[in-house]
Amino acid sequence: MTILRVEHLTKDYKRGRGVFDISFEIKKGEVFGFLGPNGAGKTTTIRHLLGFCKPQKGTTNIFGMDAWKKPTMIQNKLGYLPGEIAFPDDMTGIAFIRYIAALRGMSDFTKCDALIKKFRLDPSGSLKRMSKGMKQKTAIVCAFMHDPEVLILDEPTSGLDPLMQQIFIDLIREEKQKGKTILMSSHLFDEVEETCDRIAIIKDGKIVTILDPLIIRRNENKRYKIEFIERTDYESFLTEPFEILSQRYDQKQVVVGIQDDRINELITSLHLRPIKFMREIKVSLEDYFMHFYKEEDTDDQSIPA
Amino acid sequence: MINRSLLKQIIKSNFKLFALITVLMCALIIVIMSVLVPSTFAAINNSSQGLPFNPLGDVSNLTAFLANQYFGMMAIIFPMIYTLITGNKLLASQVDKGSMAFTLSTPISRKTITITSAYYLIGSLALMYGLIFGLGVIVAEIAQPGILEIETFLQLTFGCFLLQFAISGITFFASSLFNSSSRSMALGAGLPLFFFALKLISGFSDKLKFLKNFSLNTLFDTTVILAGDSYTQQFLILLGTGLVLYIAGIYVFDRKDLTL
Repeated sequence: MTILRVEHLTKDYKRGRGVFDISFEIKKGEVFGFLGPNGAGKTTTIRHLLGFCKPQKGTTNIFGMDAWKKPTMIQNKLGYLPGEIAFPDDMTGIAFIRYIAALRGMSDFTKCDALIKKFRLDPSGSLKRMSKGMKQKTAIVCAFMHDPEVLILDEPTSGLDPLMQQIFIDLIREEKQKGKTILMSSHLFDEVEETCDRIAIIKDGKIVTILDPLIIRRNENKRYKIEFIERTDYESFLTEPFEILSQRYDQKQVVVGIQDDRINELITSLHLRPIKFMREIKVSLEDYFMHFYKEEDTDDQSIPA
Repeated sequence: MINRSLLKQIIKSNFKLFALITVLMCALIIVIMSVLVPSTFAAINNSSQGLPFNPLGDVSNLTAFLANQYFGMMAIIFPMIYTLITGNKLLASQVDKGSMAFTLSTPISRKTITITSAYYLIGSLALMYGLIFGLGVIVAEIAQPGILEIETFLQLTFGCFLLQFAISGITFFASSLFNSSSRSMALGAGLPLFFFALKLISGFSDKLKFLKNFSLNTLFDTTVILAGDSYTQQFLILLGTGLVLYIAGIYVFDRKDLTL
């Protein structure tokens, strides 16, 4: 069952900014990642889903209701975490949480209390004096506390320390288990890779591709950085039939690109050449961008080679 | 239409400025009503005799002093400071800062936000002028029974409230229209201050008198009220201006794109 649907959404803010003909849908119980650099159009799309902006073309629907026309109907069952968090500066954290709960007509604070405990949040202080991480946690509590069916989270882990990021990822998994539908934007690949069922890569206001993170995890093209102890070994290795992606003469380092099924050839070759270290260079988000651009947008002049 | 939790929060976050201005206005009216007794005016009139021009205007008795000084200046400018700051804070500043995103992501509609905000702004001004009137009458009746012309005082207070209502309409509309605090202030505070300055300058000389025709503030003319002439039309225009601007503000805020 489709819970959230974006169809041909277009909003042109001029000078190349905005979103252009964006379409995707999210099914019940799915965690959908929205990945792209700053200014790609993630927040613009989310603004439309919250009913903050009117589409120039296309529609945004949640629970089959138009997000621009019926935002209040939708927001009964929706939790939202803004990308840029701004609180009223004259309240304490707990006063703000209670205020949002009152606006929602919420009376059951079980989940709210559990979230505060889980994130080790002390909401008693003034919002103005809170650190970025504390503010983020307060906003997370506000987004999840009424146990909404749909969650829209704009860069949810920004400002959280690694431990809290992990707690957040666990929370997303729990919510998914309970059948919640989640849209989550990020510019961090690891974060979406760990949680999302599908990832839309967005750049310059367009969806470049929608992919399954398993494909990336199962990627068979690996890259390794190797540093040799002896210069002679370094030099002779360069003559071997491997794809050398880069080399640093002074450090006696090479980066080799290799398919998994040829890894033993590499090991054999290194067997006679003592090395200082060898490590895999993980495929980064940026590489994926470039990868998809090369495939799908070769004639677009604006993309750097 | 009006959300109680939202209203409570609005009252809380604007209370300090409201209290400050209200206390100031009440203190002023208490001083005027208790200190400016007939003998004081007699002394003032004696000392200012022979002056070619009285910069204070007609201050020959308590009611005239109220009309020219209190309602001619203080009761306009101080509450106006409250109106301009609060009007901007209610909408534009929250959109600009982004804190409106939380409120709007709850099942509270834009209309509920604007109508509750308008209700607060108008209500708080009514309360402020109501307190001025109530306290003024009580203090005057205690300090100098029978001297204050209560009906004129009521007309002055009500007229001043209507002017403030129209001014707050401008501020509210600007606050609804713009997503940025600075633009909202430019129109919502700039225009009322311009009107105020225009009225002020027009009193400097006869050559500049025509300027008052371009100021909203002219519609609240204390000399007309004092003279007992008809002011119904002016009051209706002030009321209409305010109403139209509030309704227009609610309408545009409901339909615009919010940069949240």
